[in-house]
Amino acid sequence: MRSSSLPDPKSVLLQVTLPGLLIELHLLIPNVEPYWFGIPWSVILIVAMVALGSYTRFGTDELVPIRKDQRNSLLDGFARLTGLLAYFLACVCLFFVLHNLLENVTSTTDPTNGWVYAFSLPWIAYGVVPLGASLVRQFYPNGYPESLSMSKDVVYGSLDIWSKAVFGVWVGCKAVGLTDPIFAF
Amino acid sequence: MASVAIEEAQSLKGNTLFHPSTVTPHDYPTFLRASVCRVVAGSMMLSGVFTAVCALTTTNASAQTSCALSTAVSFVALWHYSKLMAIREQTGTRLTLSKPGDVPMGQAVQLKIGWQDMAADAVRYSDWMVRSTPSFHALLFAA
Repeated sequence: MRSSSLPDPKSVLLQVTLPGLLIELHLLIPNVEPYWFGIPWSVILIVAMVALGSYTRFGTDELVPIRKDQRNSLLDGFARLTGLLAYFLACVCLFFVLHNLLENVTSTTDPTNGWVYAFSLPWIAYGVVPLGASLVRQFYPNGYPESLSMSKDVVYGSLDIWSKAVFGVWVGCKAVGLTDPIFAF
Repeated sequence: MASVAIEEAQSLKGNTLFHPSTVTPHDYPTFLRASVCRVVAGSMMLSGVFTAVCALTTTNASAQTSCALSTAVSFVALWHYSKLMAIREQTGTRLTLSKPGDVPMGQAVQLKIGWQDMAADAVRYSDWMVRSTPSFHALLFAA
């Protein structure tokens, strides 16, 4: 396979994620009170986070600069500024959701708590990936680097396997009392 | 005739990926890109079926709810990954990359990749957004 000689992209942004699993995590620690607010607000924040990230991704194409012959520069500056702001707000939403979930999960005697940390903290990576993609595209603004596209598939795929598939198997094992060596705790 | 046969035999030698008839203007073959999504989709199916069985067999109501939620999340993710697979296999979008042996034409390769990635991310974001729905169902359970 030969590399393309066509120009490359560049850019900025961030997004956020994974709402449905949030409820499960809260349900797994029924004896732990949320730190700031209840489950409904957590879900609302997660949805807002995804919506804000969507604006940065699709509204500004990962904050890639607009060429002068496409739009005027003032509009470009406004779009990128609001895109960056949306990304920042999405990060704030994620911070509140995770802090609210984990702040009171302090008991070291209950192994479930450790798994709740292990399955929820990787959510941060869902926000780091678009940040990285945006940074790469700032240096390669023309087109889309194929390696970046491939990397996103692999990283998002790995995160999804861990935070949904493995998490699901763990929940199932816990529900039926399986003490498989993988989840021996 | 003999020289043509020898030439054809020669042309079959070597690494398949670098054979002139399989070279494409992009770096990663479509089967490889689709395989990445297929691995994730398979994991989601495995998880979905397992948690569904657990939800049906456990007697604890709270555990049943958790397992049912996991099942829903896994199958929603599976459905979205089937869409991603279609995009990576070049059957899910109108802008498709050249197949091995094709002469590159139309939009630039990286522009096509950019558009396909936009489509793939659209599937991902809708996946994350839609999966908040089972959360509200769980809220009803919890209430």
